[in-house]
Amino acid sequence: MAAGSTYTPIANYTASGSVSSYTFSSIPSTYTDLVLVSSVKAASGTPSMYMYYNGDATTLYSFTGLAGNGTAASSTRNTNIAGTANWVSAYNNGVSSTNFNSNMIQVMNYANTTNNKTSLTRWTGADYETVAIANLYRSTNAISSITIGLQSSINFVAGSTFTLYGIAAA
Amino acid sequence: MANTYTLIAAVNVGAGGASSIDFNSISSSYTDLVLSLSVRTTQATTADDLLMRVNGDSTAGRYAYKDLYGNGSGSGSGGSTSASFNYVGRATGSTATNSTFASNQIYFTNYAGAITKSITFDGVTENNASGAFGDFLANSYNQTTAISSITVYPQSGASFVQYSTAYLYGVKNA
Repeated sequence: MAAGSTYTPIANYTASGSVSSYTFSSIPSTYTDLVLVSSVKAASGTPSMYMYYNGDATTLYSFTGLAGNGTAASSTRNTNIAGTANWVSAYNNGVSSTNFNSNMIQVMNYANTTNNKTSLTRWTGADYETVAIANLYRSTNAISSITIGLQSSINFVAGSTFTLYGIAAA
Repeated sequence: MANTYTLIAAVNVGAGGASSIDFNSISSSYTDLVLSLSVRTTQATTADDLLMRVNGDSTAGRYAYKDLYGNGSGSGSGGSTSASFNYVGRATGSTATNSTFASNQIYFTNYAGAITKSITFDGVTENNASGAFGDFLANSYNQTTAISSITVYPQSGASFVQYSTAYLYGVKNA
């Protein structure tokens, strides 16, 4: 039996510096899981990054986060939140102009039409926190688009990169 | 052929053990790197701290890390904002359950880009008693040069034992 493929690139985007969000659209339903890997810096402030699916920014989202800041561990939970508050990161702005934060979001079984959609996020900002987040979208619709953006419509710094991969089980 | 992680190099520790696990001359042609480790050391402990340096660089202040950990009886966080190494979790030590190796994965995002390097670590040790850990780590290396070599080694100075393995993969975004 042939092995399934892992990390097949579906699409990638490099920010120009003048956008605060981006949508991966027309995602094929032929994979099993999705992985969104990003290298992000905010143009100002310390915004978190949000994610919502299928253009749906209604209050069908919730998350539970776990963080370590080098001194203490903490946990956060938000329920019945809008898509633009569905955080998949902590603060995106490193201490230097070349300091980008890493983010990896894994969306399991994204194309099924029987289950609500869950995802696991790992966000890395060594000058701030290490974070793990479990997110839930209470919809059984297959995911065909993913929108990511920064809080308060702050722009991504030019050179921020986003790659969407598909993983096939067989 | 299906796209997948592309194996760049593999290390399989032999009977003589190894004081470090090294990858050199890493091509800059990939987007990201993934290093998967299955490791145990000779240190007389259940969990032996692991350190990492890139590009042979041991300069103080070029590395930083934040750790989130749990050990079955509690959780906590530690780190450093200015170090001469990255902290990459733990290997099982010689007093852990026999034949039990830690499972660790290190993801290097945009490792060849002209930015400071952000490195994500997830790993676990296990022991059929106390003294096992799960770690999530944020690491950074504040130089903008591409990563061309990686060294992982036990902070204790002990050796990796036979059957420890390390696989370095490249991932391309197109």
